[in-house]
Amino acid sequence: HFFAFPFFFFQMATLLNEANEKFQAFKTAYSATPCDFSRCNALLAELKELFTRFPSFAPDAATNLPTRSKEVVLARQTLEYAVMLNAKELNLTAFEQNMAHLKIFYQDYGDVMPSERRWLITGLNLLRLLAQDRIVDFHMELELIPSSEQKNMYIRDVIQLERFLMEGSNHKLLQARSKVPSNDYVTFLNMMIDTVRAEIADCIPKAYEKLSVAGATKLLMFESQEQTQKWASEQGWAVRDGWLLFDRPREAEARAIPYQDIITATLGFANEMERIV
Amino acid sequence: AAEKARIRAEANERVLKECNALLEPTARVRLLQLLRKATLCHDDLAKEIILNHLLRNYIHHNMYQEADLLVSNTKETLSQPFRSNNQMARYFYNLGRIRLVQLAYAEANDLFQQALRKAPDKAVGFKTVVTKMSVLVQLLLGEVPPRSTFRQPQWRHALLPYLQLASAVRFGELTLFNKVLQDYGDVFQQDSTYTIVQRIHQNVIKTGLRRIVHAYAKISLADICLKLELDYPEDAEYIVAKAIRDGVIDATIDHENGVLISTEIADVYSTAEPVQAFMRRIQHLTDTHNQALIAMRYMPTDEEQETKDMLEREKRLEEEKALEKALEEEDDMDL
Repeated sequence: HFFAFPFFFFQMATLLNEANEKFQAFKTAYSATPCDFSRCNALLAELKELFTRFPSFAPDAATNLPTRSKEVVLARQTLEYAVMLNAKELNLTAFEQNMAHLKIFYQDYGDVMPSERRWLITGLNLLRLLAQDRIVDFHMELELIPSSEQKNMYIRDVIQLERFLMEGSNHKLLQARSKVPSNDYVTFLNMMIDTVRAEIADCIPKAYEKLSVAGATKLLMFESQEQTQKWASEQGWAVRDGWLLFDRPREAEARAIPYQDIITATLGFANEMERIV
Repeated sequence: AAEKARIRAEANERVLKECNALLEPTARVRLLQLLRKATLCHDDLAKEIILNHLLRNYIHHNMYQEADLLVSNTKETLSQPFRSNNQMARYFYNLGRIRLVQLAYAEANDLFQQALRKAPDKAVGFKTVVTKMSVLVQLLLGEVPPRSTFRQPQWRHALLPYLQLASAVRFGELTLFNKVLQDYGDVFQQDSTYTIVQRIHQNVIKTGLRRIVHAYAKISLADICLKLELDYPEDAEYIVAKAIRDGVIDATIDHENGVLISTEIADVYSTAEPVQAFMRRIQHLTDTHNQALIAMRYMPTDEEQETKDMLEREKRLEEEKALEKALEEEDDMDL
């Protein structure tokens, strides 16, 4: 019993050292260019396995273990790098999982020293939600950020991007791409272009009656007319002599009587009347 | 009288302190345990009260994900209609706030209106808060609430920033909107509505665009850019296209000439619009009627009153019998 105590500490210390070494290896593998994703992921898996053996993460752990803060900080840092790695390799499901894990570290372990990368990672997560067009989730995440941090340079830029997307000021959106707060944001900003393009493509058939291919190229931010033509044929738009034609049977529709709806509604009313009796 | 006022103030402070204690994150565990117990005991009123406190706690800490999960899990267990009107009002308000953050504006508006109806007249503070939220939702839906909503004497002062906001939206002026945001930013922060007010930015542009399309049959995109005080002319085209797709305005863009041609249908009665408006109203009335029917319930049995009624009834029956007997005897005697 008495002798087991220092042995316990020794065990904790060696675990921590082993984890530290692995983490350094992981960090170098991540920062290498080009990045070897399979090696990074293998190291990450080993690190996560080590974390499950950390004493502070045991279900009945005391809250004043001496190595607690080091373990928490190490685990948190690993997860931050994991998240950035997932952003680099565009593995969105893994990103979401690691982010969920990381959020627990940010919210619950308030007594440990706060992470310096917290707002960068939070901004990255917001940007990912925006690029995936998950606006509802974006807003719910946004509410969790305290208003003092909303002026933070990472968060503030992403909020602006959301505003541009919602308004439709795509030009401002594209310009903002050049002023990234961090290199990690680049992959998601490129994803944003695809999202924005899909948005515009949705708007075009409803807003235009006919559009020249040159104009469409400019609107859709393509580089060449061939790309636009290919895109248009994929979307099923009618192309003729360099013009895109959209038919909007607005007038006819507006004057048609919606027979189906009226019949359904009238039957509904008859139902209600019967019920009153 | 001063003594009474002092006692009342103390009681108020005590209640406030208790309520605020329930806002602590540590109170959540206890509240969840109580909710479990109340559900097992089928105690509907307790369930409502605890649920409202839990939702209030989550919303206070901006944990809308958790609040939404809680609502979806407990929806079926709540009795329809609620046992207490006050709890119902609070529940609708909390639910409305969750839906507001989730961008479900029509639903949120409905919920806030119901909360206002169910709240008692004396609850001025509650009504002020709900009116603020309902004003914001209406602005986000694109409708400007009538001036009378803001000018009620009870909350005229509190709603002043929101009145300014509504003016900015109504006239579609971005500069006024930004000014209001700057001047009253602290008030919005205190009301925890700042993020929502920022969302109204796009509504300012939409209303401005709508006014332009109503007024002009044909207008160049460059002019739209000037009128809406946008920074880039390219953006004007994107914004207009998005507005058309969203159904805010009815128009066509001519890209080559850079003009917007409005296709307003002059005669609304020739379209299906009136029919649909009628249907919506009839639906609303039948829904209200059905809800009123469902809400009717027998008065809860009052034991004392029942026994008293029974005793009275028995006494009356005895008297009648005695009277009958007396009448019979009289008849006998006569005979």
